[in-house]
Amino acid sequence: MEFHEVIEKRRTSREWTDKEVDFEAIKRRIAAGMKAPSWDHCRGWQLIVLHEREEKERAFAYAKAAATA
Amino acid sequence: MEFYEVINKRRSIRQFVDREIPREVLERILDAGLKAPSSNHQRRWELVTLTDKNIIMELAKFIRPYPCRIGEPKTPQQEMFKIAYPRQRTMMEEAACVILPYFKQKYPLSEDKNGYGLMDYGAAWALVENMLLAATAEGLGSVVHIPVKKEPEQIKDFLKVPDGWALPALVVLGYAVKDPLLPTQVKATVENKVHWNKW
Repeated sequence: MEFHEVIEKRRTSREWTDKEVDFEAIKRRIAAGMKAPSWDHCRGWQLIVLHEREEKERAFAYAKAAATA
Repeated sequence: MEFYEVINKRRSIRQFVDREIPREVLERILDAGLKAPSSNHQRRWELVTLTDKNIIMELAKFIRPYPCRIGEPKTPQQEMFKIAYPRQRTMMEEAACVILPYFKQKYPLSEDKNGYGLMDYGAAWALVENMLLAATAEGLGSVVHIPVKKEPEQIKDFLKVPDGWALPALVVLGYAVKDPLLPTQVKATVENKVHWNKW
């Protein structure tokens, strides 16, 4: 997609369908993130990507419990 | 330019030729910055945009080049230090435009007990990155200088910025010299930086 079209189109989304996302596309997005500058040139980042449903449930159990309490 | 081409092309450029940037190009870059998300949906940003060479030269006086004693760099980071440290002031003096993206700081980082201070600061960096990418799409070179020590206060006084506004970085823009100095990139890929589902 053309750069300025991307800039114009980006909005924050908070509701999702059940449709599986293309995993290769996710990898391209993460790779794009990794091209960002870092102050010390070292890109000292590690990303945890929650993909499996049970991993997401586990990771957000605390938030869910707090929200329903 | 195609989006991923922009992502791959962006590098920090610290050497510029003496050439003005057309106003409409700068406006497209600023507009791209202002499309970034903000933590409170308010986009409480004010962009001080310097194109007057005299003001840029005055501003550059506040930026001290860091000392660098690296002779033969042994790592990509040392390569970067050797290129970047002595050029913190000259890259500003050579720039055609310096953008100072101030954000309204509701929760100062120095008193941050709940992490809220990072919300406005973090969002301001989305604004900065959008502008770096837009500059790349426009064929410009770009780099940031992060204000440290006395610089934030000195710059604030110099530009008469009101209280309550903070500066995450100075965005430095210009047309790159032919073959600017670029350090080797550090490998950061999906293979070596990503943990699927757990660390």
